[in-house]
Amino acid sequence: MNYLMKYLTVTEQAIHSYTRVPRRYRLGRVLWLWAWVVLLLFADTVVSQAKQTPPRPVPPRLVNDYTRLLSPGEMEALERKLVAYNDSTSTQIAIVIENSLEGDDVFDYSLRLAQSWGIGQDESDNGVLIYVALQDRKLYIHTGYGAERFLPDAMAKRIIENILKPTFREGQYYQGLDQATSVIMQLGAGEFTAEPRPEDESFPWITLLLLIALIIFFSYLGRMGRYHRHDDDDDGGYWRGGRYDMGPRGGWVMFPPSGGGGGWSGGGGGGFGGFGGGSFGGGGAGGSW
Amino acid sequence: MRSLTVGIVLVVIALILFMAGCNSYNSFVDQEEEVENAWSKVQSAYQRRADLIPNLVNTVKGAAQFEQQTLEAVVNARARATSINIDPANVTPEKLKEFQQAQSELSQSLGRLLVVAENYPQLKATQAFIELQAQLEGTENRIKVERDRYNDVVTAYNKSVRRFPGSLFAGMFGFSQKAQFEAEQSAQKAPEVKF
Repeated sequence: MNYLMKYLTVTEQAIHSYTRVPRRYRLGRVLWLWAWVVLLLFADTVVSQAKQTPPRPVPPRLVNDYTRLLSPGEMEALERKLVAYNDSTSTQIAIVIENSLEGDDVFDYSLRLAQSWGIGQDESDNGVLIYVALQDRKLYIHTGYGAERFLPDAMAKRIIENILKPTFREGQYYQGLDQATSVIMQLGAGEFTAEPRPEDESFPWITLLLLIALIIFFSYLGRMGRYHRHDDDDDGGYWRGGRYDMGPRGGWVMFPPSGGGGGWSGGGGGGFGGFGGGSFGGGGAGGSW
Repeated sequence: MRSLTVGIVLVVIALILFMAGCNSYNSFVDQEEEVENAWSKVQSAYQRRADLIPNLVNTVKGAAQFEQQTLEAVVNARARATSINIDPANVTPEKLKEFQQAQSELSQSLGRLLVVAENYPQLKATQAFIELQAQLEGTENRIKVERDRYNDVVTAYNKSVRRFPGSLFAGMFGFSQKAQFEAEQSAQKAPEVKF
C-alpha cells in the first residue's frame, strides 16, 4: 500500500504541474493520469490479492493432482477408494496437490479452496481436504464442521506427523496419501451414512413407469378407436389389431417402439457425483516436511 | 370522480409502502438471525479454547518445576475471559470491546506459556503436549475464521441498515448497527504456535 501512496502523491504533483499546460491539453492529460492511477490501484489489488483457488474439477474428482506427482494408476486407485467411501458413508475426502502457494498462507488458501469447492455434504459438513503444496513442502488437513467429530485436530496432527511427513520425506507420496486416507476412513467409519443416491443419479424409475402408463393409455385409446371404427374381425381381433394399423391416424408416431429410453448415459459405473457444499470452520492441522 | 382517483392512488401508494416495509423488515430479521448465528459460532470457538486450557495446564504441570507464574496467569486470564458473556441479540460495541480485551489477554498469556515451554525439551517432546499444541492451533484458527465470518455478516447487515431506502425502515422498526471485531495489534500476532 505504501508504494501506492507514493504514486498517488506523485501523480497529484504531476497533475498540479500540468495546470500550466494550455487548457485544451489539460483535461486529456489529467484524465490520462487518473486512468494511470486507477490502473495502479488495480495492479495493487492484483499484487496483494491472495492466490486464486482453482475452479471445481469437471467432471468432479476427489483426487486432484495438478503437478503430475502421482502416476495415473496411483491416482485412479486413490480416486476409486475415496469414491467408494463417499458412496457408502457420504463422507468426502478430497486430495489436492499443487505446485506452489505463490506466497499465500497454507491455512488460509486451503481453507478457501475447501470452502469454495464445498467438499462434504451440505447438511453434515463431513468433508476432509488433504492439501499439499509441493514446492513449499507444506500440507494441511482441513476438517469440515461435521468431520471434526471423527477427525479432531490432534488426530489430524498425528496423521501428518506419523504418516505424511515421513513418507513425503522419502518421496513416497502415494504411500503416504494412501495410508493417511485409510486412517481417516477408519476414523470416520460409521459416523455418517450415505443416503441413496439423489434422483438425478439413479435410474429414473418413476419416469419410466409414467412413460409405460402413458403408452398403455394411448394404446388403449387407439385400440378403442380402432375397435369402434373397423369392427371387422379380419385382422385378428382388437387385441392385436390396434398397434400397426394406427399409423395413418398418427397416435402411435408419438411413441415409436424404440426399445428403451436412450437418454440416460449409464452413470452406473460409480463415478464421483460431485461435491455436496460442505462448510469448513478452520479445523484440522498442518505441517511441512 | 376525482376524489375516487386520488383515493385509489393513495391506496396504491400505501400498499407499495407497506409491501416495501414488509420486505425490508423481513430482510432485516433474516440478517439479524445470521448475525446471531455467526456470533454463537464465535462464542463456541472461544469456548473451545477455554475448554482446552485445563488440559493444557495439567499437562504442563507435569513437567518438573514449570514456572508457576505463567500457569497462574493463564488460569486467571481464562477465568476472566469466560466470565464475560454477551447476549447474542445485543452485541454492543462496549461489551464486545470488553470481551475482546479479555480474550486477547488470554491469548497473550497462552502465548507466553508456549514460549516458556520452549525451555522444556522433555515436555515439548511428549505426545500429549504436541497434540495439545495442535488443538490449540486449531482453536486459534477457528476463532480467526469465525471472527472474520462474523464481521462479514455484520458488515452486510450494517450496510442494509444504513443504505438509503432501507435506512428509513430500519429506523422505524428499531434495527440499529451492530458492533464488529476490531483488529488489534496483539491479536495480529496471537500465540505463534510453530512446530
